[in-house]
Amino acid sequence: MSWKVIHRWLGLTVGTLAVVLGITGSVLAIDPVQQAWQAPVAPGDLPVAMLVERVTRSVPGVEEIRRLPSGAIAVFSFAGDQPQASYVDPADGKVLGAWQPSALPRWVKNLHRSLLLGDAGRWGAAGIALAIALLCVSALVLLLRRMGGWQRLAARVRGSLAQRIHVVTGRVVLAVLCLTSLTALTMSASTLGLVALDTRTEPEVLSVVTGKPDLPGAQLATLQSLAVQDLRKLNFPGATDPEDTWKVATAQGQGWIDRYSGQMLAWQDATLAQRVYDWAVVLHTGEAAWPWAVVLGLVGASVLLFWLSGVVIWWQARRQAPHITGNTPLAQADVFIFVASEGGSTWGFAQTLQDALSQGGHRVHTSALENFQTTAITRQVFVLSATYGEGQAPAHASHALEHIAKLNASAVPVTVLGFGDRQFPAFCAFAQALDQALRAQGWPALLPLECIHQQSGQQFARWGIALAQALNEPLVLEHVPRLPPTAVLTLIARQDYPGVTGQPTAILRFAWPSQGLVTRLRGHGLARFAAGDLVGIVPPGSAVPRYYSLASGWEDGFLEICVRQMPGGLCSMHLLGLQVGDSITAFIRTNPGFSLPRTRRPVLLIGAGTGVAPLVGFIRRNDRRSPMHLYFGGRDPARDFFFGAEIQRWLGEGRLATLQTVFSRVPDGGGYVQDALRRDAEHLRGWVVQGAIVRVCGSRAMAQGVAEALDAVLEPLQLSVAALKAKERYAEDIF
Amino acid sequence: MRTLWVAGGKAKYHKHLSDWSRLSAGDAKRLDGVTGASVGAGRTLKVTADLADALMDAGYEIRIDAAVEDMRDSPSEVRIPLSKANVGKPQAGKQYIQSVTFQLQ
Repeated sequence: MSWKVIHRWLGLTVGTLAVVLGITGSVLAIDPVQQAWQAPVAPGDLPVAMLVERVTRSVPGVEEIRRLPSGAIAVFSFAGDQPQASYVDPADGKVLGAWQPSALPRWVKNLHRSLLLGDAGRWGAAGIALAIALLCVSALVLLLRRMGGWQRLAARVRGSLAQRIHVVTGRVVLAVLCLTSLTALTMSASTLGLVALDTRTEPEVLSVVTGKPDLPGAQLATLQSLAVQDLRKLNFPGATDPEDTWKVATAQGQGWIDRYSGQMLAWQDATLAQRVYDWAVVLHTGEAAWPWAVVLGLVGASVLLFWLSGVVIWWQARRQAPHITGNTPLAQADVFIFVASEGGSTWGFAQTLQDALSQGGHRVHTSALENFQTTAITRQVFVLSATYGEGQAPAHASHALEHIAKLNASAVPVTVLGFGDRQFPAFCAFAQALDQALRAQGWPALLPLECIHQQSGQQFARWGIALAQALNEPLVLEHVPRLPPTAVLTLIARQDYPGVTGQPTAILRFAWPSQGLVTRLRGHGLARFAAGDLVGIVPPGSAVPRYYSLASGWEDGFLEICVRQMPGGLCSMHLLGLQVGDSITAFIRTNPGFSLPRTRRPVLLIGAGTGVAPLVGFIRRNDRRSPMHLYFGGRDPARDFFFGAEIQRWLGEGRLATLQTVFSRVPDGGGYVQDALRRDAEHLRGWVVQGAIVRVCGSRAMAQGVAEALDAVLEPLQLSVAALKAKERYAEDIF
Repeated sequence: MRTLWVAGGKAKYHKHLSDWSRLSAGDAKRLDGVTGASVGAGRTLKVTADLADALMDAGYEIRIDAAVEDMRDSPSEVRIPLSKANVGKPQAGKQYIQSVTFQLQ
């Protein structure tokens, strides 16, 4: 079972009960806070003997003095037949008011520790504590996996509102919640009798009656040398029993003192188990320090937040679960499609392939990769595989490689199609591993391994053409992705550029409608975005979205893109035809590899043409004035210096540290952006040595030119673009 | 010294019944067959014990220790001399027990 499965199912089931413990725990945290301002804290260095003297002077019939965990002093006494429990002022022993152990009704505590079910409930509550501990451990593993390791733990959290609430809250309270569950288990172990705190019997000691009168408490040497801060409680010898003793309890142990001679008759050190237990109680209840109780109260309440956001996340994931229609039963199929998918989108491609093959008369069975097999009538097998994290298999297919390695290869061709994102160093690494394993075992392939970048429908269609040729069948792969929920955006401003080769370009600024919390929690409406993320826009007359890099973030309050007219481009034509007030439907796709982490290190931004858009978004939000250096490549400063005026202004404001522009179509324009890099090699090396982060945005040819130029620049440092990429310091956004 | 009944089976809390705990410490079988659930606030506890007739009016007494969570312990909450004269006479406790009555069967 994977951590994810453990976390999900434990959270959904036991999590409901954990909410009860969290809320009641949160309520119980009121007690230490309330008690903290009910009575003054006794000075720690006050000798207990002096306290005894003050108390006995003003309170008759004292039986017990207790130093409460809060530091206040409570005294138990009898006024005639009436038992009394009062707070006293340690400064003069005066009674301040009645003491009671808790301001809350008893059932709150009983609900918290035993679900109101007695001993069976105590076992239940302990089980829930154990489940919370497991949830915490699995959460830590998942958190590290999601954020990409300890160093990136503080990085910005992406995803839907529910996901962000879950992860951000988790990051803050995970350690405390884990501590709370472990201390709860420690306490349960002793209450349920699994651990005995102290198996010794108390020593049988009696005061030796000598005819002398009682020694007053103030004159007992032991109490004179004992500071109040070490006291737990002090029991006075009973009035009716001449052989009774003083009994003093401290954190270190307990002792019995002769009432006539003042001699310590016996001393028992506290056991290790007792000390561990005492610490667990202090940490679990916050009774000794009210600020800690406040923290515990908030953490307790956060359990409800975890559970709610967790349920929403689970519900959202369920909605995106694969549903393959028109699936042929396994035994009758001549074509198998096996899928390994992390987010679920790969299933959509499998559906498209299945539909196309079925139209060609094949009987196709589609299944998850872990079910990989062939039958006697199998003619073709296709494996569609995504990659997770740093080259791992998607969770459900984690054992697929081992499973395949156990099978004997047959003559049936097995063709692998990978899905991934070039931003990540491990682009399609799992698909590659699969392909290698299959070839090593001797399975033939109809087509060599192909890797689809960012779920590109065009690339998938091209693979379809190759497939049609190899199968010698007419086959068209027109992939219509299942779109995430869209929002309606309204154009509020546009800035036009004539372009150079008859390709007009415009910067379009959109506003989104206000969205309520419920809409956002359900994952509807426009997701939060940052500069460098992508906006997917579906033009009228097409089902396939086009993606544009965002030049603004959610905090900017508008959504901005830079669109160039593509020859015959349906979407760019549509967008460039928009007037202010017109609207489009759109959704956000995160681009986690490309967006900029919070940093004070130098940032190198290299962009050409409309590729400057996401870089502009980074500069716009550079409120910390990190040293950002922009290299911009255009063709003609009069026609395609996008965001030119803003860039100049940011340079003046210090949001941008340096600017290098080159224009390839004007005399003395400086050539291409990679030429500017070569000329500036010395500066570049300096910044890279300081740990610079590099972002490149533009065409594939431009990105390749930049990488080659930088490789040459970095060679004296024995660094390369590949090395920077491996350290996640270099990312490209290519279109 | 004989243990008639212990309400509350958790050994962890037995030290809070301090007189009983001290006086019965040497009796290894003090808990055999005489433990039950603890008693909640406002409840009545009924205990039946088999006592030899010879113990009546022979200087013995029934002692009850009581303890409540977070509150102070109350050793010898109730002490009733085991005599025929006390049969059926309710006696109040010091702090926690409203009244105790014993009957002969």
